[in-house]
Amino acid sequence: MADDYAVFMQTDLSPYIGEWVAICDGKIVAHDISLKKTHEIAANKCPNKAPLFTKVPSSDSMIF
Amino acid sequence: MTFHFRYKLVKYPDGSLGKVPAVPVTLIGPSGAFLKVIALVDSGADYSVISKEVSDLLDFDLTEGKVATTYGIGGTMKTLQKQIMMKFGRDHELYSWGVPVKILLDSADYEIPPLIGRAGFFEQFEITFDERRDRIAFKKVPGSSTAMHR
Repeated sequence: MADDYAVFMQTDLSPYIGEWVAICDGKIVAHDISLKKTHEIAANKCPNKAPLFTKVPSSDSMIF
Repeated sequence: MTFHFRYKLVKYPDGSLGKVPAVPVTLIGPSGAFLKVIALVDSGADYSVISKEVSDLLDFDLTEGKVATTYGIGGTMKTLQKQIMMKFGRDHELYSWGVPVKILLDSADYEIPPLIGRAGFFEQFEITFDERRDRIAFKKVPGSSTAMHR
């Protein structure tokens, strides 16, 4: 998870406001409004791995 | 041992920048299904919180349990309290233990990212929000009920 967490910390996620983002093998592999869909896409792109998921809130007070 | 996470730099719609205490944590449901997520550490929250869509992926049974009204800054929310396993730490210092969690039942609450509240979590660590250094520090409390993994 360490590399994926580093990518999370270094990446401007504002293009994904309102979406879930999946990070795997050091890159963004999926993003969608639905966590379920994001999870499915990430599972296909990163089989047998555990991507890191983050929600990018759209509210003014907490935008990643 | 003490480990740290730096605050995440965030960009607000007006172009200004902010920083939030966001940390990686693995959430584990009753079936063993798990999800690695970024969660906000919220000292103002009594309980940890996840949305229904997160609970669905973790195989929580939402037909059992008592629905309650939970009060937050955004108003009232219908929630269901369950027990969740958390695996948390940094590098070779990883701990896992059970934490009570409130599941948000309304789809309108999906905007809320996973929150780590005080119950079951804050008593495991001495937690320091270091605004001067832009980081949050976790020092394990000796004897608290976690299992350590290496």
